[in-house]
Amino acid sequence: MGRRDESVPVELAGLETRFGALVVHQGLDLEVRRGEALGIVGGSGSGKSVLLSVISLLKAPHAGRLKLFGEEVDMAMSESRLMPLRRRLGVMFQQGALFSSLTVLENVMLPLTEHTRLPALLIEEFARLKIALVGLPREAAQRYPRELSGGMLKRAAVARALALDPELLLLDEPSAGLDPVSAAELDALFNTLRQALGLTLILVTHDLDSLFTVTDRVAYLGQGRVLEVASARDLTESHEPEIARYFGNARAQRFRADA
Amino acid sequence: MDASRPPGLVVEGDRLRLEGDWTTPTLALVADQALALSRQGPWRLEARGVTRLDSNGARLLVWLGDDAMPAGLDSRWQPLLTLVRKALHDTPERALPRRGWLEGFGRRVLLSLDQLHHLLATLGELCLALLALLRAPHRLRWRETLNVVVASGALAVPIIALLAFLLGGVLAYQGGIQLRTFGANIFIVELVTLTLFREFGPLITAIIVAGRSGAAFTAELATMRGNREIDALLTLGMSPVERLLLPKWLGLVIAMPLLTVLANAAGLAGGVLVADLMLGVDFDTFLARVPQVVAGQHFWVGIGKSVVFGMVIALVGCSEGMRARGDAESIGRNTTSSVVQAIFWVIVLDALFSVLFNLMGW
Repeated sequence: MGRRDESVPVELAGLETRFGALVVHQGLDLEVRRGEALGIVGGSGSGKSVLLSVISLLKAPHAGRLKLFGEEVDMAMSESRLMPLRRRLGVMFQQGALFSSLTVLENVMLPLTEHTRLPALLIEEFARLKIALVGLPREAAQRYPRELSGGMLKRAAVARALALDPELLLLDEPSAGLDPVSAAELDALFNTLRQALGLTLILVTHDLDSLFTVTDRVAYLGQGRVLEVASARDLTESHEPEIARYFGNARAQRFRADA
Repeated sequence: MDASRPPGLVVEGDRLRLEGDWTTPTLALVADQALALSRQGPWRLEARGVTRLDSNGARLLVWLGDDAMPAGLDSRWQPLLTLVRKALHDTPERALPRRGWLEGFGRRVLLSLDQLHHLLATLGELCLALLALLRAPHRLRWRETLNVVVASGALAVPIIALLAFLLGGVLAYQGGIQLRTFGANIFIVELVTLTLFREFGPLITAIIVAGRSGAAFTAELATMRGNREIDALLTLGMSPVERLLLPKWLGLVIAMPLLTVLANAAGLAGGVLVADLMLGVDFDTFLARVPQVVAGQHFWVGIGKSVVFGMVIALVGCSEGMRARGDAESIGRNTTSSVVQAIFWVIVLDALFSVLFNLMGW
């Protein structure tokens, strides 16, 4: 396992994806640097979630190159080669996607039980650590996902994504459906975890606060490709008409919300 | 990929010297040793040789070591260890509640009572909705109702016809063996027709419909509950009973007797075939004898029962669906429960009908 290697976590070149006749991405290039937090924004249907699916090896692109941790990936590769790569990345799905028949603790223990040969005692301790790291109260471990509030559910989903100590964490709209306080707490959690664990983060979000507080760079998806990559501040001042319109609306909404 | 260095533990007097990569994929190599050593701890840790550390590795260090920062730990990993310590400190040890057998038994009893309660409540709501419908017949969702008739009735025709045909054949075959020894071959007509019309036709139809449509009703409603579509209907001022439950109930009440007629006919065909091949009772003789020996009431008894079975299957299917919580596990459990309960009630009612019809001399 090349955990300390300085390889580029994600490298996409000329990516093309489509659903039937619908082209989602065409000629998309993106490079994610080690240890950075990259935001992905774009209008509805610009393929943000699909891009995450491609990076997390859930959807095969139609054309183009994908390199994960410096290794060329082809979804036609055997599972025995894809699985080690999947283990090096963690995904937090928008709705959490926690297994509803398992408690939070069991959800977090599952990947550890599956992928390591550690004693059961340690697996439980490691899972409890993850639950503590994401700031959940200890009683939450015994709860079922349906018994958790929205904010707790997201934290539990992060705990499960962190179970195997991935190098790359993919977050699909982490603050969606959360109140501003919970959303801000979650953003702070991402910053803490990223610094302490040396994580690389990719987050798809509509939340301007998250963009400004969490990300180093933001990639704007439009017309099937990455229109611009810049810091959140620079991107909001972009002269590209589509980007300006996007942030114009988002800002306007924010001011309306403030008023 | 660069080579990973396996983690190592060396005891040096009162100190523990750590080496290599303390990361999740390789931790299993030292786990047992670390657990054994932790019982003699806490140790003073010497971590100059640690090349990598992740949060699970840090957890093991916390377990082994004392409260001090391990000597020589690379400054890159120190914040991680601090964070892990803080997280563990903020959430102290736990107590696992254990569930005794008595509690488990009590929960099962309560669950059964809850199921029955829901069943009766749904029956009541359906009756009220039906009364409301009688006052305002134009409110009937006839399109949804017909969809149910098609999905639960028309689409079930092949499987019911096939299984009833086989059942009729088996009935004639097993009965035929007995009748032949008495030379009473011709009575195969009574045997097959009566048992089929009165019992097996409605019963086999009910069992298949419970497995097909009752289960589908439950899964559909449970999923809708999960998506909060039922709540959405309520907030929009629409009654889920009227929109969702009543069409299913009426649809099945229409489909069941029709399917039972089909099952009777298909079973008869199977019986006729076997009677001809095995007992020498040919088609014409068989079919000519049916109206002579089987009074219309036998046929109508079976059809009447099938209507009631349809009501029960739809009722159980809807009740279990509305009782579900909507997560994946509960959808599966309630669907199973729906089929089991539906068949249970069908057979219990069938037994009650036997007693009732016997008393009435039908």
